[in-house]
Amino acid sequence: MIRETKLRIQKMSIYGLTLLLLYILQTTPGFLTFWGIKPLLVLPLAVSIAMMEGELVGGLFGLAAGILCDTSGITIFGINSLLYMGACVCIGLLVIYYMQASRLNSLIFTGVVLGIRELFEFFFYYVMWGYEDMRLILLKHMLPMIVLTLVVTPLLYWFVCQVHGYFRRKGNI
Amino acid sequence: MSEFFQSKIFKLFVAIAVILFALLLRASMVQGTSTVATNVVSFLTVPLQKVTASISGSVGSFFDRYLNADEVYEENQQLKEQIRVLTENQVELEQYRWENESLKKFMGLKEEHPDHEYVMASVVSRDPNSRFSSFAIDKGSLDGVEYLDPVITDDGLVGRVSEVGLTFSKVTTILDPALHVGCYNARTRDMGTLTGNIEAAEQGMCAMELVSRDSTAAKDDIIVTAGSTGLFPKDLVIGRVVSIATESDGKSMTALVQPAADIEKVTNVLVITSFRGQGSSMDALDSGEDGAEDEGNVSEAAEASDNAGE
Repeated sequence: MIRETKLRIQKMSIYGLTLLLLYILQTTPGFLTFWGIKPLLVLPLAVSIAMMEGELVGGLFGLAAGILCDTSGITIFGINSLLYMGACVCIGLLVIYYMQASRLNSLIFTGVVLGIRELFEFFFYYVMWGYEDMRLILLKHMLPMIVLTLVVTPLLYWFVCQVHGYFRRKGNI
Repeated sequence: MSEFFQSKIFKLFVAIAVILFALLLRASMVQGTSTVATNVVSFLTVPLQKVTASISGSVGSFFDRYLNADEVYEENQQLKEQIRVLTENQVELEQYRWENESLKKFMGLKEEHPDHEYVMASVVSRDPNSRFSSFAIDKGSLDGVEYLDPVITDDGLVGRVSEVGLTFSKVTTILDPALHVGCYNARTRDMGTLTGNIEAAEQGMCAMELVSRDSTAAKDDIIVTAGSTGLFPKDLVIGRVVSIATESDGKSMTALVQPAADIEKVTNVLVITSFRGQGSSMDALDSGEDGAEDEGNVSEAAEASDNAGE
């Protein structure tokens, strides 16, 4: 029992530190920036954790990822936290009851969550204010950011699979 | 699935969601101030971000020498040509002044504006979800930074503080359409409102709107802040006119302005925490319909009253 708890703490610490590291990297000026666009790293990690660990752990990591994004982002505090937490809980439940944990599904989940988030921002921050040329925001910033994020998603999914598999082999955690 | 909705886990997430929604409502009502959660997270992450930002900056500038050699050469040629034109034609006094000011470092700025109080800050993060080159700096309310404080470099205006935490602040740049700055042309004295424009922002530029149709403004004119609203000091260099065109309604003209500061790559900034005339129109701002973000209405009103006075 003690060994199990110890292993569980170790696993959560690895996820937590990875989340923090990815957040630092995603907000570092100039790092992984292509034509002014940067990928979102914390969301694919939270989605992958939700797929592997279920709704409770997934929801909590979704919440943590959302709080981090709210801290550095321009949107009102709470939007990312609410969305990512809710999405990760749903993803955890979907994988438990209806879908499989696979690389393709991690891409679909990440794409859908990010798409909802970007459309939400696009509507409330641009469409509602009637800015000119707002399609440029969608085409030149939001869509490339989603594509870049999807490019790194398999790598983060693979990482979470490895961590999950390692602790499963070690103590069925 | 149905057992999940009767479980304690479901109730826990509902409770968290309610708390988050309350925080969201509070954040939307209290503009410019960070929440407790943001302050706690920033307290942990800003020191790490400082380290990674400085490492990234060093590595980036090392590779930039080689990766951007063509760009640097081209820029060098352009500068040479500019120097030749300046020498031969003796351009206007304002242009010389702007060139001088662009060479002045932070101490020079202090001499130039004795009424200004500055806080030096470093850019520590640029979020993937941030638009218009907005960024976060490593100074907050503990360092004397306040909501709406202007942010500059030694080259010119960058933007203003849009949110303040204890140890960090978020900066909205002049490329953002939500930001409006009262400004005038240093040569022709034409007033206007500088604001971001999505299309122009793609090229790192912004627009000076509501320029009189009779204006003789031309390319390379220097645009400076009007200082009429109390939100920005007077005569801060904003940038240089790139082109000017008549609006579709034919009533006014819009000038494309290249900011003097390299907003997309800026790494160190100065926050002006105090200046003469600061907040003189804040009452007008507070009573504005659209809140603090819509400075444009205020600046126009202030400019109108200025013009009426003249």
